Amino acid sequence: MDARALAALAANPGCRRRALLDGAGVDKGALAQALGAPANFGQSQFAHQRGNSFEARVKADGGADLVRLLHERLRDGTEPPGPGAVATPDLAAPGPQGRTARTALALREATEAGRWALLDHPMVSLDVAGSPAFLEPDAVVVHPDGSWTVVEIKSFPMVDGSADPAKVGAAARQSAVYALALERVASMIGEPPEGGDDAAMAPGAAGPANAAETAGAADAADAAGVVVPAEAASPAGTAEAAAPAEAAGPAEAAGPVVPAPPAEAADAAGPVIPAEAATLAGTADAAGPADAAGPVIPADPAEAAEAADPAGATAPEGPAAPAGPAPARARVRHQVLLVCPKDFSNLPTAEMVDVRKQLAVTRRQLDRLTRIEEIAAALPEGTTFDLRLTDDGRTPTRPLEELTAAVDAVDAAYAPECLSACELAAHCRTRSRGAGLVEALGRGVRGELGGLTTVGAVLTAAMERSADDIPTGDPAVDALRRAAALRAEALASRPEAVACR
Amino acid sequence: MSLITTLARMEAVREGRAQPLTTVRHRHLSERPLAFVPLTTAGEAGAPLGAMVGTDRDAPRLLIVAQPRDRDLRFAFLAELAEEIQPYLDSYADGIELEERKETDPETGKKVPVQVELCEDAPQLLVPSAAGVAFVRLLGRSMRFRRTAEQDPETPFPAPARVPLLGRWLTHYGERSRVPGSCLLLSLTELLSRHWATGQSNLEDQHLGSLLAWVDPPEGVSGAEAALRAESERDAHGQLRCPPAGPATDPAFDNKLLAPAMSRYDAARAEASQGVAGGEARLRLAEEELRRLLASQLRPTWDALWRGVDLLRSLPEGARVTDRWRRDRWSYTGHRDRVRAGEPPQPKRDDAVTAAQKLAARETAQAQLDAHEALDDPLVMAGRRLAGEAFAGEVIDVEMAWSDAKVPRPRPLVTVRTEDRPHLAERVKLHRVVADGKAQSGEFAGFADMDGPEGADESGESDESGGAGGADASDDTGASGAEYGPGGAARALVVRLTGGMGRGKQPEPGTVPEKGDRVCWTLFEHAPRGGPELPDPESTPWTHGGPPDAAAPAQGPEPDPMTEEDYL
Repeated sequence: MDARALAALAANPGCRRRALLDGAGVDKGALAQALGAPANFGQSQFAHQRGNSFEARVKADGGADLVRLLHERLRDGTEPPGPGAVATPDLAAPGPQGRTARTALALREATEAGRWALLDHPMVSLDVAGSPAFLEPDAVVVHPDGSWTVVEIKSFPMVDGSADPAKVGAAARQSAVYALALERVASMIGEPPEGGDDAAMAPGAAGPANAAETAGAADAADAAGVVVPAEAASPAGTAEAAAPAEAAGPAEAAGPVVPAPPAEAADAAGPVIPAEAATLAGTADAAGPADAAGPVIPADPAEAAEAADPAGATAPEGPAAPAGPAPARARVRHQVLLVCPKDFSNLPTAEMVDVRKQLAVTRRQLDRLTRIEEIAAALPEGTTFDLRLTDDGRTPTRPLEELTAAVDAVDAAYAPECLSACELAAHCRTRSRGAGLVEALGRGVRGELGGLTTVGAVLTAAMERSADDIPTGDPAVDALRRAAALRAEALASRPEAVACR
Repeated sequence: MSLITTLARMEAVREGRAQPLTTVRHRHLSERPLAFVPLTTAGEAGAPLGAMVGTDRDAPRLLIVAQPRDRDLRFAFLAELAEEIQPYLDSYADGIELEERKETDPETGKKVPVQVELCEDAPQLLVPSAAGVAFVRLLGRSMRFRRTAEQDPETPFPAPARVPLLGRWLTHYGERSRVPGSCLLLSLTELLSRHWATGQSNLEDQHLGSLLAWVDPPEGVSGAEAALRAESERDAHGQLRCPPAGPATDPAFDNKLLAPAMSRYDAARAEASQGVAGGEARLRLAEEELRRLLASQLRPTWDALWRGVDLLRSLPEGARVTDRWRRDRWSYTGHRDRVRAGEPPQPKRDDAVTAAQKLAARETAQAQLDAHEALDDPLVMAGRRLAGEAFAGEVIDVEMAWSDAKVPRPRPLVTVRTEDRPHLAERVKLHRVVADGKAQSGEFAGFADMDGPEGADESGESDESGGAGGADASDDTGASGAEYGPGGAARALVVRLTGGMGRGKQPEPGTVPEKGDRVCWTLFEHAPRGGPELPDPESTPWTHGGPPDAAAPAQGPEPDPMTEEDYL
């Protein structure tokens, strides 16, 4: 799940269908295709090339240009970064967990170093409805004062200092998701490390998501075991530390949320959700081998290792020699740097965008997301979104009715805005229209209709009896009757009956 | 969306076709509009891909950029575009009429009448969608600062004089389109969705094909089904049957058809430049293929645009549309004069005073448009009545009364029986149109008993409660406005006429409604005026950046710098 999808999910927190499918890592595009309602999504290769070449240009020169641009926008009167003043730590690591851990380490080191640093395509994770989502911002800059700025590079132009507000808004929402994920990292870094007892503090220190609460559940011995290689005391050690996490199984970013038998778990598009999912997800019993395929709770070895290794890595001197006091000053700035092409050229220009509002909205919406276990628990036993692809992995063989029934088993909250944000929107629209729901005409429509939720009910209420009739006492119904009467009166008075053509 | 519009959309859902939102057409449509259907390269600002342009629906001119990454080809396209559009824009410049206007004489400071020119008609640009309007603005911005060889012999890419000129015109048209109710540059999606309610959301109405499918579905097919087809039906090659109205192209078209064709073009061009035998011929073929491809994307939208024009023309024009078009003609004439006077192109950013003026003008235009549309159209007025901003009803009693002034003025009390629930408080100003088209003012004087209206004496008490009740109601129900409390249907309102009755002691005949007349009073002004005047640029307050720097030379803005490497 990328930040764009997350922002879209946060924009529609009431959609259980999307929360479940996203959380379970189901390929919604393939699902929509199989349902016969493919999304009109896609990216033009021209736009793709342009985006890539612009980003490469912005980051050329070891990020010095980018940091200069940021410094210029800050206007805080500090010294501009000189040549070679920008560190660009290597963030390469296998697997998303490994990269997340590596990023956390790099952030910590850069914050302690008290100098400019550019993290190119770092990876951070965020707990979404009970399962971790891995996110990849374009860049994060660490300031000498220890604060962090999210950098978002977009290829739409900023003409005369202003850009398309809709696109800027989308970029701001996306950046807010990154900032939110970074805040978690910052809060963990801010905690003073507890010298010797590395294993105990490990998950709390760097684990994403609900690591803190799982600290107890995680097998301490396990975590400690994985920390050991990290004592090799170098950044390279971290990469190694991450390796066991990878080796522990196909722990994919978007692996099925709900623990599933290994056979199905291998297929990301078709996690079977056992009826006892809710209980499973909450307990440590789940930490069986099947879990390695991507469980909700990081209670299994793979997750624990991931949670632990930054801790190991952050103590390069080894647990015996406690690390110096970690700076509590790590913080995420609430202004992100939006970098766009200037006017009609490919020269970068940038503006600071305040995302406090988007941050608050996203945080609130993500909190509101129903936990996936709860959604899964309400499903009929054996529900699966498996398309039963043929061996070449192209043709779904699952009967359409069966698949439709599976998708319909979980409620959607369709609104027209979904069309530009969700692959499944065309299907949901058909269902929503079929059911005559008023939201299919736009979210705002509901406001004045009170308890009337379907087009049929609204029309019946409006037309059934004349406006002169005794008021029903329901303001929505009375207003509708009045509206219908006024509309009919005006249409009847048309100079000539204009056919609606 | 107001409740009455929501209801119309639901009716459209039930009927399977769009339902009217208006009974007349509220926008001017030129006899000879210029249609402009642009395409742009995905992900690239101001790199046009092609366009269909022209005034003749059967003979559009197709212009393409075979390789949008090539600056020379792009500039050639813009020059061609200027060749097509500029003569059309100029063709209205000389048909003028003389208008008298009061101007302040700079020497005496008195207002003196002067004769000014006003163009009899103005050119009108039609684009398919709102994104097209934005693209016109963008094109204008990218062209107006280009330098001609005459201005700057050193310039590396001199532009023909028409290119910066067209840039200034497109900028003007783009700017004007932000004024509510203006008609110099219109998009078909906005036009159609103003006049018809479809059974889908506003968002989906942005797709011209799908919108048209609702307004005018093919025989035997419901609007919903036709709209779905228009939106997503693809042929055997995965290409949309109804390509998007642009300016962005469908990614599947870009990736599967356009990109390979461009590669072939590039290869042929390389061969031709190296003098490989037959290279020229291959280049022509490759270019022809690109033309065919782009035409396949443009032509359906071009036809849809004209179909939309036909549908709109079937509606009679609203009575006040001509008034507003006159303002557009002034706008056109004004820009013509600025160009003729040799003024520099519009600045990149407006100064504080200009920006404030533009905003104020747009607000006034919006209020005026809202009033005009309601007065021209009973269906729009129905929406205002539902919102409690107007009421209509039958006059059941007229009582003559006079003011207490030394010279008594007529202040007749008119009792109107209405089922509407306007948001009235004591002495709220009311307006209505008299038979001769003039506005008449009045004020709310209270409620009357339905059985026997007693006039103003008794109205005092009922007034209090009625007014207060009305205010509460509006707080409670919020959006839909008027409340339909118990007691139901009709009420009698007393309106005291305060104007529009001539100068005498007795009102002029025909200015006071009679018993049995149908009248419609509005709570909004019919000719809303703008706010107070803004200060001169020289006295811009410091809060807005202060006066412009007089020392700075007033030279035209710099052209955009050309980077060494090209775009992409």
